[in-house]
Amino acid sequence: MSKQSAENKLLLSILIAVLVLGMPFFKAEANAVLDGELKSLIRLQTSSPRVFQAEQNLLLNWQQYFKTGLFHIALDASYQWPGGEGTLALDQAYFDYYGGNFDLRLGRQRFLWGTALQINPSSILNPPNPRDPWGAGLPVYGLNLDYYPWGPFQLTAVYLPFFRPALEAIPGQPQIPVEIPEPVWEEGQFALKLAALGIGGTDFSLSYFRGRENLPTLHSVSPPQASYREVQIAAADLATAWGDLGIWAEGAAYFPKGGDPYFQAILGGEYGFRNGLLLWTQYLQGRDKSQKTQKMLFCGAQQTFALWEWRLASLYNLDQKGYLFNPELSFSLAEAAVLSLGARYFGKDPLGPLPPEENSIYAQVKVSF
Amino acid sequence: MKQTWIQKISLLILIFSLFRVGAQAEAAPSAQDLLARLDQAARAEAKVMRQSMTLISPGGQERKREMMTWSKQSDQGDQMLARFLAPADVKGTGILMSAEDMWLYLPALGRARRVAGHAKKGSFMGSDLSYADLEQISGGGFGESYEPLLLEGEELEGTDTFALKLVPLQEGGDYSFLKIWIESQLWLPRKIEYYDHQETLLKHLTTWELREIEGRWVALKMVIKDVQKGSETILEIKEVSFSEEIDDSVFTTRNLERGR
Repeated sequence: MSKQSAENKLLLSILIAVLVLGMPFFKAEANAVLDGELKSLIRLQTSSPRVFQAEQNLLLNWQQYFKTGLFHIALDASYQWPGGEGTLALDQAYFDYYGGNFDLRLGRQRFLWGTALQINPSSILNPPNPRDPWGAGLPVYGLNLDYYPWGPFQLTAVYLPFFRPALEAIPGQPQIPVEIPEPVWEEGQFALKLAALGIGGTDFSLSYFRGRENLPTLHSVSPPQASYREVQIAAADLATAWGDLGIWAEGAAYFPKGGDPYFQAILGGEYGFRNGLLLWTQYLQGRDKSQKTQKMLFCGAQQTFALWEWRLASLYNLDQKGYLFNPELSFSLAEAAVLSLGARYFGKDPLGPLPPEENSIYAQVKVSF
Repeated sequence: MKQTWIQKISLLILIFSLFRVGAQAEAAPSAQDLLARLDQAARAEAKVMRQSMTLISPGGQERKREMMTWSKQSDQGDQMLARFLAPADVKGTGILMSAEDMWLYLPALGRARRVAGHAKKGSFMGSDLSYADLEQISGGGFGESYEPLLLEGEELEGTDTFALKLVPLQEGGDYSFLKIWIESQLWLPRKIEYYDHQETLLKHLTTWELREIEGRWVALKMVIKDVQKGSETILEIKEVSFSEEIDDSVFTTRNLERGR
């Protein structure tokens, strides 16, 4: 058992003990709520070799509400075929306390910062999930304090006591060891954010982060070794409207210790038509950790009918000439049951530093309960 | 000089005619008065509702949603929070409208996201109503967006109505015009027709089950039929209160993101 895994189990045990022992001290407002979703996915890899895969995924959410907060625990169970690999993992597990002018969240959680879609330069508090690089990040243990001093303003402070790595080896180069910071208090990370909502039709925020990068950097020394560098990040974002057009922008400047600064900025917009068609686009420009220029264009469209919905998401890397198309058609089979059919087509070079995916077509049934 | 009997009769006829004109003027209020009365009847300082929304596809398949809405009219403008209770795939979804601002909360996303003005034209959670339609019939009113013109009223479902044609005050609106039939005693809309930019009937809304609750008349059921697509939406009020005090903190993104 790795030290990281042992640390996680210890923290989880402490959290469960706090939840169980703390319950009698809080007056329950309603019965506990158990809900979740079951997803059944089949996927055919269309590029050679053709591989057929199936995956079952069950997400269970348990919530106990109180007058001044809630307990929330989410478990994620999955089974993959072929391979017969089954996993049961703790997703989020936290306690919320709602004070007069502050909210506190303590436990394993996701921190959602920034206004851009899918990719948020200002949000590196959660490491990316290598199995789903464009999805939600991996949950981490931490404390989030939201303070509401006056009117539309909000001040957020986040403290992460331990560092959780996204990768323990460089993709495609498993022989290069990645130095993982010790899970000790001294390795704690923190972030601050000042946000204002609804001022002149605009939401904006300024933030600062001090911690480590969320992906390892390869050092050009012999023998080769990679590590998660210490970094400070200054970021800003806004969301507003120009007429009926929705506009958002987000930017972050990264100052790694012992490295050159780099930045990422995103500008996006969306427009919806009377017939329900929604078009959106966003453009990312910046440099990555290795000072390579990044220029990426994201475009999407979706339209909902009574029981049907079609969606198209695309991504084009203007530098590496890599691209992704992800058309999807969804149909409501019954109340809370949706069938989705789609394809993921990748062109040319990989889109980022995470492992590339193979082209595939898929069908998924999602039942929520 | 003494008045002749002809002069006396003429004077009486004149006085009688003036009374008659006055009485007619009172019996037939202006289009602006009618619209003001309609908007006034729909407005409530505070309103909490539990509603069901049944979506019926052109093929006849039904999907049912349940939601709670809190609305308030204050100096800061109209505010509304809607939160979906069921079914499970939309449970926890919330919409906050505060004056001109609008945010959407999706549990899967885990945060409130600002949505721009275009979203108000779009369908409200897959229904045949847009956000703007819902805002207007839920108390926001029509007076700020439309110029009313008087049409000839008619009897609908056994009640007398006044009829208005509502023409958008600004170009580029969602509809070319609306026709609305207003119940003549209760000042509730009985029927609204929405016309597209080709001036063709797009959809109509009818109200049913008028009840007096806490001293106010309310239509407990609304049926919206999109005649072009063939879909239908039924909105039913299960519970409503006009006397509940709603704290301003309900209409904040902080509350929206709590998801309950």
